[in-house]
Amino acid sequence: MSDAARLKVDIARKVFRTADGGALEAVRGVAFEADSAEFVCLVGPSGCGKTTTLRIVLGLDGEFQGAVTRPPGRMAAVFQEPRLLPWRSVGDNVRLALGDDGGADVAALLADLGLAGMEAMFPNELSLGLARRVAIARAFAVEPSLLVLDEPFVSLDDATAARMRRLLMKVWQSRPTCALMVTHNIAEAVELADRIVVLSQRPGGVRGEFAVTAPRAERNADVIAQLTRDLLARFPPQ
Amino acid sequence: MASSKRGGSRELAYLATSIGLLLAAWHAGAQFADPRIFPGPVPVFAYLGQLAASGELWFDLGATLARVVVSFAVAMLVGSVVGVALGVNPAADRLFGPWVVLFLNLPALVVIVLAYIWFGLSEAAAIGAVAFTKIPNVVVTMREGARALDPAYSEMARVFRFGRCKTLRHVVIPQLQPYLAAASRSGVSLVWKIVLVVELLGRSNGVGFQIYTAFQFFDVRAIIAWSLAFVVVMLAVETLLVQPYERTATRWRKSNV
Repeated sequence: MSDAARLKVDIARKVFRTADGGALEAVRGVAFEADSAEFVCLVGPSGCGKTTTLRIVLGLDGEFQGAVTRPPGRMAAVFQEPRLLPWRSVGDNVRLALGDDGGADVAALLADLGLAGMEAMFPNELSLGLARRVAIARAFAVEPSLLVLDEPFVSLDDATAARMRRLLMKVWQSRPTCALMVTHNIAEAVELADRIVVLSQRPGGVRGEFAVTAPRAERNADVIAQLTRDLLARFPPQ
Repeated sequence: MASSKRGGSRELAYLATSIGLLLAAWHAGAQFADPRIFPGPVPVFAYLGQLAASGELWFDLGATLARVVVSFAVAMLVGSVVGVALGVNPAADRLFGPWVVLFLNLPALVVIVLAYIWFGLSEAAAIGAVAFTKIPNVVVTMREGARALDPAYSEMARVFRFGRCKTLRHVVIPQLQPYLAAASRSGVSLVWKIVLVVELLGRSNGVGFQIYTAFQFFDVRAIIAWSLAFVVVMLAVETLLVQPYERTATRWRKSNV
């Protein structure tokens, strides 16, 4: 594995200015790396700086102490809300992200995500689950070398979320890329990830890492439950 | 679809009845007045016919319409650029916001008179003066629009490397569209009224000039004929250009389920 294609994150400190002039330390010592075809999950209690870390990784927030080295190539993000342009059709939303140098076969990607025949629809006509699938299609369409997902399945019902996880895995396994996903759902993390980075309470720092070695095909409900217990035994809730 | 069509024809029937009633009331009222002070619809439309036949109507309407179009375009362009710049830059807004309030309250007449004194009785001065009166209104509306821009979309555009042009066209302008529509709607009606004033004060053609001439002869028939012709033109602009544009631009909203 060439060293240049790795994602290297080392955030020493990130402080927010509050409205009343005070300072809020959101992150202290979040450091981890990810390989070019590795799926890494960040888990931790709410308010521990997970989303802040993602924003720094995406380059949306440059005011922090530390350094982030991204793999060369394009980035893509699946945000908590789908963030589709409501005034553009599903097809246009995906194609707009592509840029001039082209990218993946959009029709095939939409078909893989169960969105065939919906290209001409507007985002307002879609359910949240479908809109999230479009956001995933858009992210994979740019053939990113780094894919960032911020709780992409939050506020979906369990059955829909489970189906979406299987879809995400199917698409990611056929188009592997360095993926970094934030979730507060530990079962979700052990189902999807190669490695889990566990963060502490605010100011968030890395408590440790948990490698998920079981092959994905074998991760049934029992295995996921066992892995979740193992993780919680090593990192009991603070 | 069928019901909306039926609703449309009923709307049309109401509109025709409304206009018919107005004409009837006008005609009846004119019977009791001196025809030179308050002429009825028959002599007014007859005079309009003469103006159309002589070609005078089209020439002056055209001159006024051209001034409306150019000054409206200049005001929208300059006002949008300034408004968005102030909306996204709070420091600039604090510095120049009071200027906007000042110019907003400057009477159009003062602007027109000063423009004619400083820049001469020229076409550029006339159009510039009209645009200048409208710009502060556009600035205020577009500044509001720029403040309401959703950073979530801009962040998405940054992550997916949309670039400046694409971001402007697909992310920023669609969000500003309702504000643009509001500014143009109030803009058209304001601009054409001010164009008549600049024509009255310093131009030798256009509807404003014709109304001024008619005023000097106390020719009420001509005054009403010219204003009617221009109102019809502006209503046509509204129905044939502004409304269809708004329908296409807001198509995505209708599909809300």
